[in-house]
Amino acid sequence: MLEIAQLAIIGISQGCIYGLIAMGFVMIYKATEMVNFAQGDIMMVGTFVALTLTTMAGANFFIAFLCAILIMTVFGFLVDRVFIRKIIGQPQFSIVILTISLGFVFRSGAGMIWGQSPRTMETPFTGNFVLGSLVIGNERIAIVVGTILVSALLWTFFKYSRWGLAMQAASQNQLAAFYSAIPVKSVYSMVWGLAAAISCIAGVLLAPVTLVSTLNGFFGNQGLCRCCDWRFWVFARRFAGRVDYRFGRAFCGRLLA
Amino acid sequence: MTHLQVKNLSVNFGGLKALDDVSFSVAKNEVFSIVGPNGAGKSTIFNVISSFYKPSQGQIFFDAQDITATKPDEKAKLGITRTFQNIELFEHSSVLQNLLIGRSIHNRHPVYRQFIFDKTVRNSEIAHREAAEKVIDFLELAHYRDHLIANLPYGVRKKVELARALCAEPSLLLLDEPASGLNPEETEEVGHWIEDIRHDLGITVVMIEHDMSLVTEVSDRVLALSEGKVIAQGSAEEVQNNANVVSAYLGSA
Amino acid sequence: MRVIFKTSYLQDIRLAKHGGHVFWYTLLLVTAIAAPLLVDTYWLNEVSRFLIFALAGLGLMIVTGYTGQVSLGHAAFLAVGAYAHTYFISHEMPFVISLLLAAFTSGCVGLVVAVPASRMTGLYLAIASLAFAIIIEDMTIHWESVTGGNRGMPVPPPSLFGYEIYSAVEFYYIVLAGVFLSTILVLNLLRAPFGRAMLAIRDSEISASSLGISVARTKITAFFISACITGLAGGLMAHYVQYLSPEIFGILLSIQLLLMIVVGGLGTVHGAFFGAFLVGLLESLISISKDYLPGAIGNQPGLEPGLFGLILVLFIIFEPEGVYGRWLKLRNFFENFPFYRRNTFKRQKTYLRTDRLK
Ligand SMILES: Nc1ncnc2c1ncn2[C@@H]1O[C@H](COP(=O)(O)OP(=O)(O)OP(=O)(O)O)[C@@H](O)[C@H]1O
Ligand SMILES: [Mg+2]
Repeated sequence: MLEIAQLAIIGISQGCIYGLIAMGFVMIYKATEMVNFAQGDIMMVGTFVALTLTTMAGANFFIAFLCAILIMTVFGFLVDRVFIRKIIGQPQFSIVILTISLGFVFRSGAGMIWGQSPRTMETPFTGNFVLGSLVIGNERIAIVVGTILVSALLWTFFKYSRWGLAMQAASQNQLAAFYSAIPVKSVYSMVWGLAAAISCIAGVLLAPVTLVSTLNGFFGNQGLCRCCDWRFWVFARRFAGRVDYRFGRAFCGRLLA
Repeated sequence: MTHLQVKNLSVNFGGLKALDDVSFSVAKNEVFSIVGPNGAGKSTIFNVISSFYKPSQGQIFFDAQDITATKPDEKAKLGITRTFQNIELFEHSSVLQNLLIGRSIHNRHPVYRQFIFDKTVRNSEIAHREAAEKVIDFLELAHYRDHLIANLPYGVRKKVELARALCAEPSLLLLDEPASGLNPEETEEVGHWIEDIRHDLGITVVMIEHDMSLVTEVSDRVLALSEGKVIAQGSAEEVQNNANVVSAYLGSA
Repeated sequence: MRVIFKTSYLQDIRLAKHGGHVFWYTLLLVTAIAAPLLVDTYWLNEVSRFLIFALAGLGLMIVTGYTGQVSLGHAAFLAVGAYAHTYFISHEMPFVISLLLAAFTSGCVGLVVAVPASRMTGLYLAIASLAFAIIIEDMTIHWESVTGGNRGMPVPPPSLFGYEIYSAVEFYYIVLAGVFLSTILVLNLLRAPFGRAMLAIRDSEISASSLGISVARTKITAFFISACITGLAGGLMAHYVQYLSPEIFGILLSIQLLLMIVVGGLGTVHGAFFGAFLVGLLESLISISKDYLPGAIGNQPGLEPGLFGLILVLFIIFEPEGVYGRWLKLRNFFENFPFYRRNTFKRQKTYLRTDRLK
């Protein structure tokens, strides 16, 4: 019983992380019909920014975290302004190629700035939460609480703020949004900023679970794969299972689990 | 003789009833027009006929065969081709290439034969070009034969799209607003072509059009649609004088 | 400006459209055949490498340049081709048959990705191929009885009619023959109905299907052909590298292939060759410049993918038609001077898919 509860909480927190990462993808996809293959790497950059800020002398973790989120919002905004906007209206494959290449650029840039070796991030989410004989890592709780907070914030944002409503309108009908004088392009940049902010949060919450390294982008892309279409992944898993149990494990290990 | 028959067709988009119990039939070698205010569901009818949308209810018969669920590409093989309201051409190809793609259903060579490009493939390529050339003469496109679509003015693109549909040698042609965005002379030209298509090529035409003078000039029968419902059907004059139609247009204006 | 008066349909159908084509391509072929006389062994090997990459790029071009679906994991097919070919010849299969069988194997493996992805939008192919490349990479590591695992495996030299080939010259001719034949076959396909169907799908799926082209079938066939060609390149590449190991065929190679066709010019056969040439050049430049760059940048393992990515970004934004497209524009400019129309090659925008049918 206890074990099940323990596993359940770990499972839920894992799901939350994927959910957070996926949220960024889905926001961009819904609003702009672009799949952002660089999302995982944006998350990785966000984690490194947070790492740098938190390790700065005397910095309070939460203030540093907030600053990182702000920086990443601007980062996402700029990515859209500088790169993505240039190819709005081009065929799908341009966007796929553009975002995957951006991912490589970010990864290699991060490697040059922060080095290739994995690092650990000091977070306040250490220690365990003990309830009777139930022991849960605080980092897991932080993930769950963080996800709930972010979701609630986003929900309010979409429901009540002007920008949120504009984003919804733009995602429902681009042309109509153009006609009703919604600044579609700026809305897109905002969406990108928001998505980057969310993935920064996801990255930091994830940091105590994994180490911080330039390869974290891969983990982010799992989020992409997960949110895209479960039908495809059921297929992939079955396929992987059929090829060979071992490969199935290796594959799932790298992509799914 | 009935060529196309649409029976009790309904289409829903979420809560929106884009089509509500629409029925009509088109006789062989007839020119049948569909009119109605914006958003009435006219294009939706075409999209259902070509299987891009699934109807929630109703059936479509073509030569008494039920084609409601046939795949889009099968429809072309049966002899139904169409044009689109927002021109859908192959932008990066020349006019001639576009027309040749229009002949896809007449290609019967397996892919490995095409790799080798043997004599039969070569001869059928020549035959395709002859057929395309006929359409080019018919629609007076010779001047543009080797132009890229991306460089063509709007009016010519409309013409190329029509030509491409004709290259398939269909028996039923669906035209979605063939004259929209054209100037009066060009519109008149479209009228002549539709007459020729019907008389010389023996093709049945279903046309969506807003320009009432064109509709009156070429159509045998007209169907008026408003908010997904059929509000009138008959000759062009009858429909134009129908009280429901007048109020649908005035009401929407 | 060259004005060609067409007097027969065959003129449009022929591969060489006019005397200029005949002259230049004959010259190119003669130079290629005479290459062993013109350059030494080192450069001849470089030329072989260039041809192999061009062939792999040609494979990717069919899927991405012509059919408009991005495959992010095409190096996997190089791997399948290379391993399959090596496995077959190690088991006493005649060289040519083994090469063809390896290409076919690679094509069939390609179907595993293409068939389920064809029922969804093009994006799924991008994701599926990425995931697939990872599966293949894992397979090359774990399926030790066939692939030799992480240790890798040596590639026996090619042998034709019982005669073993060790010299660079002979290998070069094998590669040249393979690339030449494949290119001719691809050119044939492109002027046939199937080639046009691929273009049609790239530019507008809905009108392609309304004209009777089966979108799913065309995509699957195109992917199959593409995987076959890339697999063939893989088989040849096995002999070039002479020792196979999993890290050769990583994601970096996939990105490199993508870079090649984008830089060369999407949707043209020329693009595959230009791209292979330029990216080969770029690689040498990077390896030379590593000696001059500060260590923090020069010794980065991520330097190459980063640079590849950056160049891809720049090309997609500023010159999506690639070097070959730029060349066509320049030629058009000079031929029509001073009547060049700025908009001749203006890009058309396609808006969101969901709005297009309304
Ligand atoms: N794919 C879709 N998803 C949701 N709603 C749609 C879709 N396609 C059409 N509609 C809606 O269905 C209704 C009918 O659209 P349709 O395109 O058939 O109109 P129409 O009569 O062709 O108008 P127009 O004269 O402007 O072309 C419209 O309200 C439209 O917004
Ligand atoms: Mg319409």
